[in-house]
Amino acid sequence: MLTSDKLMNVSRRYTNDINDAKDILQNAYIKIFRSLKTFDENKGCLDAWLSKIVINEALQLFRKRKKDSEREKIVGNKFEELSVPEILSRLQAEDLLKLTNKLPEGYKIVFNLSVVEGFNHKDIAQELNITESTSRSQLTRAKKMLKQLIIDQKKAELC
Amino acid sequence: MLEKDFEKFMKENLESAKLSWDKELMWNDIELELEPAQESKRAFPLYIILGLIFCVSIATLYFFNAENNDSNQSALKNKERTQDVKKDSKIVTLENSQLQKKEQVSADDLDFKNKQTVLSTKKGINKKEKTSIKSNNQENSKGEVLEEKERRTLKIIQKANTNFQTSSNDFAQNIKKVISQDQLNLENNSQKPQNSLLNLLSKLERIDFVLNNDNASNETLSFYPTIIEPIEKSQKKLNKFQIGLYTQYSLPGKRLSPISSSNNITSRNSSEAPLEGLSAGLNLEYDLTKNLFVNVGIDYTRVTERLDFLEDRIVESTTVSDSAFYFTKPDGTVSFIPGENTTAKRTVNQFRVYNTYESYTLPVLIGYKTNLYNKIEAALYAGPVLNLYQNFNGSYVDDEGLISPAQKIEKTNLINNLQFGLRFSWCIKEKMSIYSGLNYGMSFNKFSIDRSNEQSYNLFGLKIGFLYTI
Repeated sequence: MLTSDKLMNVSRRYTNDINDAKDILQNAYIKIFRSLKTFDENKGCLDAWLSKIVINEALQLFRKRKKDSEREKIVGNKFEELSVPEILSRLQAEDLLKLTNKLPEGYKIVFNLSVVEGFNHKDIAQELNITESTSRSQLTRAKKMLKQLIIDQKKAELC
Repeated sequence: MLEKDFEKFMKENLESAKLSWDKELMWNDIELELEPAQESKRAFPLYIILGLIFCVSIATLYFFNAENNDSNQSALKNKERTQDVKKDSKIVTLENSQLQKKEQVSADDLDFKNKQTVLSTKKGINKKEKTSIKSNNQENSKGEVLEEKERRTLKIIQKANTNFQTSSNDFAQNIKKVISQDQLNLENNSQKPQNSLLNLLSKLERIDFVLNNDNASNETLSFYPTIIEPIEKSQKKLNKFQIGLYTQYSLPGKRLSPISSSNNITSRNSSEAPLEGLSAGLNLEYDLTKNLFVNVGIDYTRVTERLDFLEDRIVESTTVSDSAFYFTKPDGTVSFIPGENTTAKRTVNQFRVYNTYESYTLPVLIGYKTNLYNKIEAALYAGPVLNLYQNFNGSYVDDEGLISPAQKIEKTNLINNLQFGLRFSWCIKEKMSIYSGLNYGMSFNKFSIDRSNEQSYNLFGLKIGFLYTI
């Protein structure tokens, strides 16, 4: 996979809107080109550095949006436990990405930072200016919601 | 399914998801975005080059001036020993013995123009009487006298080089009077009239000669009376204050740079055009040396720009329509729902707005000045201009392509700009001079009116003003 595709993938995980994802990637690339000299390969691999810049751009956009409008209210839905693991194996990666993007923005970011990027809750709390417990609860809810979305998707396909 | 497995599954799939998107468009945009950054990188060498030019100019002027002094001094001495002696028939041959030189001076020398200061060693000596000073008794004091004379001669010549052509200078005026009188004397005595201007320097050479050659004849001395201004007086005059007013018309260059991920640089660049800058100020100038000066003051600058923008927007409006529909619920009740008409109206507005940027600043400049010709002086200067207050009034094109009122400037840099300039001044009266010159203010002042971009203005202008010695 090309680096730009990988980075687009990262960007896309943090926003529902493809145009936002492109903007994030574009701004990230501009920063990458301007600060390429500062990259020190002894401190980490290039891929991680590039991903980090894209994530930072995405978080910057998230913070800006957060200021502009009130955060989405979290609806405490009750989700059924995922009982059919086989469903997952049938899902395409692209479908999963679409489902992840259906999560509320706060959930989605915590989920991506924790599950995909491997951040711990302390780092997430610091990045998003929330408490660690909020980060944990949002991750739990995100996973529940995601499972429910997957089940709904499959049910809809079967119907 | 275990949470861990679920997370692993999601991670692997999300990382490998393939998306189709228009990369070309993004690369083109990135290329466009990166171009201004490369230009801004070029600004740094430009700044270095301007600084170097300024330093080289200062150094050149300094050395040129120093060389002139040296060459003038040596030329004066050489000429004195060759040309002047030959030209003037009244100058007699120098006597051989240095130890038995005669010091002679005329009463005219002493009394010339209300008995102004004369050589201290020649005081009280009558024109008609030739007095010999024997060196046997006064060898030591004579050595000191010669040293003193040499010192004075150097001062005279240095002063003459720098201030000779300035009519406001007392010394130069005195010399002119001497020459006028000298000419009159020469004419009355049926001597060949002298060209005063051409002989201004040679007059100084003669003064130098008189000071350095105690064996000059009485006739020579009588034709070249010397008046020497006290050195202390001239030194006091160096440290002078000048107060001035100026105005400047400049052409502004605008720079926009992004400070957030979403910005509207393109739309702002295409719609906003800086027009002109007008400045006025009051300054105080202080001469550190003959050539070096510092200049501080208060400056008011107003930059005007025009915003031409075609605002194209779609406004949606909803109205209750005449139509309606109703339906029967399972319980038998009927619900009535009024119809709605949603219409989208496109409005296109042509905006022309004049924005103004105002600043009050404190320029702190240091410069080097030198006489060019007669009453004309040239000066180079540079220094930081400190920010006191700034304000922006007007509108801008926002992220959504709509006209928005400018936001209050919150961020203020300490240095507004770095100023360079070259000015030519003309002394119109004894204490008054007017000047004109080119001035460049390279902006360090980045401020924001939209919280998305930073902007700054470079000003290149023509400055005129006057300075009054206080």
